[in-house]
Amino acid sequence: MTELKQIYCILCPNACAMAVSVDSENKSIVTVSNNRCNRGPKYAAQEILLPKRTLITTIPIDSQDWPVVSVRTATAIPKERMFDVYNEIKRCHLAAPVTIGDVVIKDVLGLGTDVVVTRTIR
Amino acid sequence: MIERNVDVAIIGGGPSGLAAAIAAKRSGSQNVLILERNNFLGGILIQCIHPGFGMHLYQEELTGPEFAARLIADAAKEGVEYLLKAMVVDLNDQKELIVDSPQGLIKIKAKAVILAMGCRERTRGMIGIPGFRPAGVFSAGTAQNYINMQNLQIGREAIILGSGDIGLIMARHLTLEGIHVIGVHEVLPYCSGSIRNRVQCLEDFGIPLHLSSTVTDIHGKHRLEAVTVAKVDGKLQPIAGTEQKIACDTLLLSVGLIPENELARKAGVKLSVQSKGAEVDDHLETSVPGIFSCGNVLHIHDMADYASNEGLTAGQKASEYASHKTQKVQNFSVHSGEGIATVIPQFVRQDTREVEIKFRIRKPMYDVQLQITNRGQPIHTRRFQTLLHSEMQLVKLKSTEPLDDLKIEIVPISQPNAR
Repeated sequence: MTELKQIYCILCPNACAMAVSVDSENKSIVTVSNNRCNRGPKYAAQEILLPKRTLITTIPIDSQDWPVVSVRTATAIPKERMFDVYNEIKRCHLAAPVTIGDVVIKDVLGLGTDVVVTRTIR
Repeated sequence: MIERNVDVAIIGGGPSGLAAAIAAKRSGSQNVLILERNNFLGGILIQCIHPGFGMHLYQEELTGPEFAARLIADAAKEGVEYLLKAMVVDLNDQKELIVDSPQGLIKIKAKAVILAMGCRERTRGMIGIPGFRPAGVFSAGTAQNYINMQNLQIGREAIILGSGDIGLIMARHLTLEGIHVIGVHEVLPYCSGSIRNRVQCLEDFGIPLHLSSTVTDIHGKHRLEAVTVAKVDGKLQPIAGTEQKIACDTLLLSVGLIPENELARKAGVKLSVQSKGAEVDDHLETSVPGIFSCGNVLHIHDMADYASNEGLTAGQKASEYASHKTQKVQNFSVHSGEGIATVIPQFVRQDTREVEIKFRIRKPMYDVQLQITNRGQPIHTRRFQTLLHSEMQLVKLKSTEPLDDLKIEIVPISQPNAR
C-alpha cells in the first residue's frame, strides 16, 4: 500500500510542502514531489524512516549558585524515544562542579549517544 | 567615585557584546571593558538551552549555554576585561558612563562606546489584554527563565499567545517538561515564527496553532483560571460571537521584543521609528560620534549568530574609531521603498563602496523581486519564491561609485517564468 504524506522541508526558508508517497509495508519512499531542490528527498527519507531530534532539559544540581544545570543529548535521537530519554535524564541529580561536555549518562538507553552537560557550574 | 579610562566600553555581555569585545581586542584596542548588569556573562543565551546556535560562527549546532561558553572563552583568550553586577546608569554624548557596581559608583571615560544592551519582551499591558491580573500570566522569556534556570514549576495547563520563535520554542519545552499546552493563538493570519520551529516545536507534539485568534479576557482572581479567546477580523478586531472560554492556569505571552534603548536616549542617540533602535551607518556608528550599536538593541534579530556577527563589526569599527584610524564622516541615507519594514544601516558613509544591508519585510510575500538601486540604476536584484517577514534578509553590495542614493524595494514579478 502506498500512503501519501505531506512533509515540510525545514532545510531552508522556502520550506517546500513536499508530497511524499510512502510504501507503508517496507517503509520506503516511492516518490517525492513539490521539492524545489534535490536536498528535499533526502530530508524526506530521514523524516519518514527515522526522524531524529536533539533532546534538551535540565537536571537538579547541588550548587551555591544555581538549582539546575542544562543538558542535551550529544547527537540527535529517534523522535519517538524522546520521552523515554527525558524520563531517564530526570532520574539524575548532580553536584557542582560540572563542566561543559561532562557525560551524565553514557549511551543513554543504548541509543548510541551520551547525555552531556551544556553549562559549566563551579 | 572611582574613575577609569578605557579604549572601548561595551554595555551588555550577551552574544553581541561579547563578540564586539572580541573584535575590538583583535583590532588592537588595549583596554576593552564589558559592563554586565547580571552576575554572569552570556545574556539570554544561558536560558536558551535548546540547540540552534553557532551554525554561522562556529559551524556547529550548539545550545545557547554552549554558544555563550565559546564566546566567553574567546573573549578571555583575547584578554577582554569585564565587570559583573555592573549597571550603567548614565551615558552622555562625551562617552562618559556612570556605572553602579559592587565596588561603588564608577565613572568611566571611553574613547568609544558600544551599545549591546539587547531587548526586552512586550508585556500584557503593551498589548492591552483586559481582565483580572492573577498569577499565571508570564512573558515567554520569563517562563523560560523560571523553568530552565530556577527549576520552578510554572503551571499545568497552558495557553500561548503569539507564534514568534520564543513562543513556539516554549510550547515544545513546556510539553517536554510535563505542562500541557492547550494551543498557540496568533492574532495575525500567518505564523510569526520560522517554519522550522513550527514543524519541530508544534507539529512534532501535535500542538494546535490557531491563526487570526487572540486572547480577549483573563479570568481568575488569585491564580489564572481561564482565558477567553476570539477570532479576529481583517483589522485584527475580535469578532463578536466567536468567543470561547478555555480553562487554564498559565498564559504565556510571546508578542514581540523591544530594543532596550534608555541609555541611548540619555546620550542623545537618534532612534529609528521603524526598528526602535539607533539609526546607524555601515560602521554601526550612531548619530553620536564614537557611540556604536549592535545586536538586539539595534534591531531585533531572529538568530543570535547574526547578533554576534553584528557585534564583530561594531567591535572592529569602534576599535578603529578609538585609535583614530577612522572618524565620523558625511553619510548618505538608505531609502526603503515598498514592502520594507526595517533596514540596517539607515546610512552609508561617503567613503563606503561595500556594504551589507539587512532588511525585514512587513508580511509574507510570494514570487517577488528584491530590487536595489543606486541613483536610479539597479545594482542588485534577486527573485524570491518565498519571502518571509519572520526571516531577516542579508544582501552584500559592492560598487565603484559612492552609494549616495540607495533605494531598496520589493516588487512583484510581473511575468513569472513558466515552470
